[in-house]
Order: sequence, then structure tokens, then C-alpha cells
Amino acid sequence: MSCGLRMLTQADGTIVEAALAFAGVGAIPKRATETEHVLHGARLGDAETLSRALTALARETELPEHMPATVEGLREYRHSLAQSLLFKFYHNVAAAVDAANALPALRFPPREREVSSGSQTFEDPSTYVPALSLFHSLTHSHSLSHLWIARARLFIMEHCT
Amino acid sequence: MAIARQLKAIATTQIRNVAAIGSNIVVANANSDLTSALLATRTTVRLRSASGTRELPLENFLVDTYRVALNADEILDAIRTLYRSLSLSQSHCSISNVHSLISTM
Repeated sequence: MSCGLRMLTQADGTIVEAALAFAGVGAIPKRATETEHVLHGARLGDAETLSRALTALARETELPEHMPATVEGLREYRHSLAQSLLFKFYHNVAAAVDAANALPALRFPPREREVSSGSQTFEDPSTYVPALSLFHSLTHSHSLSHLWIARARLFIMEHCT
Repeated sequence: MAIARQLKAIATTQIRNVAAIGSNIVVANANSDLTSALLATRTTVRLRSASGTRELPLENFLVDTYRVALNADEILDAIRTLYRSLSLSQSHCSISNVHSLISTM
């Protein structure tokens, strides 16, 4: 999920233009036009502006029950994250326009990352015992499902023969 | 510019070295990290074929997940987008302020 949020404001905090785009809350990245409309002409300092914008955004980023495979899952998370991002952005802009009245904890510096690197170590393949893995202790937590399969098979063997 | 900052958060240096903005758009991923930023900055795409060029707003170019309004004989030739180099700290000195934020989760 990602977003691109842009606002053009006058020195007194009047919003002249708002462009809010979100990816990951629908089949394709799209503008939140209803929310943009709510923000247009409103003043940053007015208490109602943000809550009206968040209400509109919540309505238009409501995810359908069945999403394309690429955005499946985490419906509630995506829905609330869109509002959270607008909330942070709004406070960042408010802080830039009127630093004295801004909430200091809501300034978010850009994330810096080093060039990534990685390494992987493989065991000697000759030590693998693939055929008998069901009856060996499985240390890899991801493989716990194999244990359940093994237990299910034992259950079937005991009760169905 | 916010888009330049956003680019640093996408993938890794090694992948970014061989990636292109145009192909990122044309793939039309529902979760794109870049398209959302470009949508917020009034981006248009120019499409070229042997018979000429046409220009579309990015909104109209994106049709569905993995689908764009690109004909079989066309390529994405250029993109135009809004450019402001004001940072948040500079912007409140001017009469009109431009603020932008792009975020990847």
C-alpha cells in the first residue's frame, strides 16, 4: 500500500488544491476525489476540516469483500492505514504552515536505507533424509504443519483400519 | 522532491538500477509504490505509435489491475508531471505553499 498526497495552501491555511492518491485500496491506484472535494477551500486550522476529510476518505476507500489477488487480505488494515496516512500528512502540512500550533510528535522524517546485502548458508545436501521426515523431530517452526499431517494420518490409520 | 525520496524506498539499489518509471506505470500493479505519487502530481502519459502520439491523464491510462489503455502498436513514450522543489521547511516562507508526502507501507 502506498499513497501520494499533495496540498496547495495559502499562508492563512486555506487549501487551494488537494490531490490525494492511494494504491492498495482498490483494483488500481486512484485519487480520493470526494475527500479532495471536502478539503478544497477549507482551512487547515478549522477543527472540523480534518474529521470531515477522514470521514469522506473512510467512505471512499471502503474495500469490497472480494479484492484482486494482489491486494487480498488485510482489508481493515488497509482501510485504516489510508486514514492514518492522511492524518499524518495533514498534521505535517499544518506544522509547515503554522509551526507554533502544530503537534511536534507528528513530524515524520524520511526513512533512510543503506544498500542492502544478504547471505544464505546451505547444509550439506547428503545429510537430508527426505523420505522419513515424518518421524523425525522438526526444528523448523514453519514445518509444524507436517506434524499435524502426520498426526492426522496416524489417527486415520488407527481408526479406519 | 517527494517522488525522488519515494524512489529510494522502492525495492533495492540493485533492482532500481535496472528499473524504469515507464515500466512501473505500465505494469499497473494495484499496490504500486510509484503510481500513487504520480497520480497526486497531475501526471500525463504520452503514447506513441507509428501513426503519431496521444497524451492521456494517468487516471485514464490505468484501467484495471495489470491493464492499461495501451494499444498493441503503442509504447509509453514520455511522462509529464508537476515539479516543485520546495521542501516542507522552505514552503511556509512563500505565499502559496506546496506540500507533498509519499509513503510506502
